[in-house]
Amino acid sequence: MKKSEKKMIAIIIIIGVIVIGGILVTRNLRNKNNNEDETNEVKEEFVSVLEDGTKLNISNQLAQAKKVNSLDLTNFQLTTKNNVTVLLGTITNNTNQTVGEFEADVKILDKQGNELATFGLLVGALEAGASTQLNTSAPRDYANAYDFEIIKR
Amino acid sequence: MKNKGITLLSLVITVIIMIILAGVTINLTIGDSSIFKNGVLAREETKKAQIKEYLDLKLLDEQLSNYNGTAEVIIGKTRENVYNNQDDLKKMGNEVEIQEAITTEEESLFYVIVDKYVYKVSMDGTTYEGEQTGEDTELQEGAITFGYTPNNYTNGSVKVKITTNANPNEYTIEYREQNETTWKKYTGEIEVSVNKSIYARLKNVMGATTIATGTVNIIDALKPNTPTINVETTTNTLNITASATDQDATTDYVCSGIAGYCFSIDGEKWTDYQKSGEYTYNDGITQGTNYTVYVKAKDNAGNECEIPASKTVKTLYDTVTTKLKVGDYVSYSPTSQSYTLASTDTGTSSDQTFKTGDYTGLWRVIYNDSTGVELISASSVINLTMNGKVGYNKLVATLNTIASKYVNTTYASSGRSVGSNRTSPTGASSYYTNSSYSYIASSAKDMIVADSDYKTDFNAMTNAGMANIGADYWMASRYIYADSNGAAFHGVVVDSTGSIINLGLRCTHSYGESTDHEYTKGVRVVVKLNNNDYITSGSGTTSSPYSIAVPKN
Repeated sequence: MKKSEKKMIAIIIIIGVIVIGGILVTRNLRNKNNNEDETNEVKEEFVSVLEDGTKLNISNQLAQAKKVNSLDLTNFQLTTKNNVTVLLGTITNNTNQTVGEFEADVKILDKQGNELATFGLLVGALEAGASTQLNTSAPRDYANAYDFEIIKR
Repeated sequence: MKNKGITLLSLVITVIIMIILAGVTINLTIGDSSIFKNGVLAREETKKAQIKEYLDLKLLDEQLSNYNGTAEVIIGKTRENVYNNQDDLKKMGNEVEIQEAITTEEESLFYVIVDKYVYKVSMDGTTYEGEQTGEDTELQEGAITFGYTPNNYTNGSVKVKITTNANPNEYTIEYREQNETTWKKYTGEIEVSVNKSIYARLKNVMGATTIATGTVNIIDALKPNTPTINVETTTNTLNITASATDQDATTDYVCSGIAGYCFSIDGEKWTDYQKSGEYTYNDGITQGTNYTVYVKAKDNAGNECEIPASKTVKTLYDTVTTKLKVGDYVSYSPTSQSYTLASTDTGTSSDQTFKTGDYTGLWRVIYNDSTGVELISASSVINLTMNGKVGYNKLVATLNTIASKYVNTTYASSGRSVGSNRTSPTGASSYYTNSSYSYIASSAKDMIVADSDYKTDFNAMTNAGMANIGADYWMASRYIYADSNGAAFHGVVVDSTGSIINLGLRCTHSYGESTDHEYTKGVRVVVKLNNNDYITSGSGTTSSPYSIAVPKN
């Protein structure tokens, strides 16, 4: 290999190291910024405030359909107003038989999966194919919930 | 022919690097973390901070103007003030909306919306609530609604109110508490003293329809656990770090979490509760004193721990090594005693007797360094007469003997005369004889020129302005002057102007004649303090010298 070619390769290697270093630094900075953003916004990450001050939960995870005791739960809406949080939704019996009355616990979860609160829930007897409103509430602001899980007692 | 172009491999590598560089540049310019997007975000955050500060100032104005006003009045006037000056907000945003003030059982507030960013103004200040969604958002409504009083953590009972948007002429509300099976007609607020769910349903002539659940989960009647406590001390501060946990939730009560801590010394004058478990006492704390620190914790429901944490600690001492500076005045008393210097140690015709208690003057710090802390008598402790060849030879030893009498072993470890070696003061004990300079002590035989030890002290005293006391005093050093005619044997003295002079105690001449001289000069003593002596009072001045003491355990 000629001397000039060796010199050229050395220069290219140095430039390559600098470029790779630059990419790594950029990625690290971006990750750091993202982490800081998450920290700053964690309080209101899943909240949208309506005109009247009502806080509306906008978590996609929370909005996903759920199932308890063979009943389908959909159409969720979690709001907080005057420091009272209300979870509404629709309960549908898509089975072909009546599901009797039962009690359940609704565990409100944050993004890390920590339980913020437990709401009680009484589901009345529901005939096959029928729907009713899910309506449970509790004091305090849980509008920034990420998800909830519902467990039959 | 010699090829001067680049190889294909080099070309490919160069192109790849160019592509990578282009990618990095594009990413930095228009990526998620690009400088442009970061600039926009920074501008938005600055705008939010400006608006929040503006609203806080308006609130503060009204709080100051209406310091006796209710929250409703103050919030109402703040809202009016903001509304009347909304042009200010329009300088910070394009669309400004100031909503009507609302007063609920819990608080008074109003919302300000600037470019879809919602700010809540209440008596606690302005908080940014988030971004407003579209005006078309339609919410579901619950057929049954629960209200709770209070609606935050409490250690008392909670009143639950049930209302409905259904026609009261068609529907009645029935309820039952968790674990009950019988539905009862709802007639008014239900008071619950432990956490539980309340089930409510609407009933008409056709039977029961919708069911709703209200859950009381804010009652915490369990006291927090006693905090753990750590206290670090200095000479005048107590730094407390406390940490507590709230009792775990039970079936009846929730764990509301620790809200804050309050602190006390000796169980008196408790501080207000504060969120942080760290607190520093730095007012009125004195060194070397025992203090018992108490800490109480309170949870978010208002329960205080049953037993406060306590810890007894002792503050550190201001030791002489940490506190004293060169030149400071110190009150130091030697052990009271009488001592006699024999004429064989001074060359005088008779013994000289002194009492240490005769010196009642102050002392000053001449050194505070790695060797230790040394005090020098602010003036001469005695006037000492030395004479002739004995006086010359015994000068250093006699001066150091005198210094040793001024050591109070309670506070000091050693004493020496000013001008002697700091670490190992020595003196003359035996005579040296030779044909040229008879009568010279063996320890002084090499001092044909000036002994330089005294210069260390003399320079230190000069720098600290302590060399001149307006009267002559001996330095623990000697000096010989010799020429072909004879020799003169001097004692070193600092004179009344603060200058070094040499006094001839004995002179010899080549033909055998000799003459003795006698001088009376002051003696200044240096004592070395024990490092753990501490300062009890004073400020180091002549009118308020430092007092020293021995630490008590």
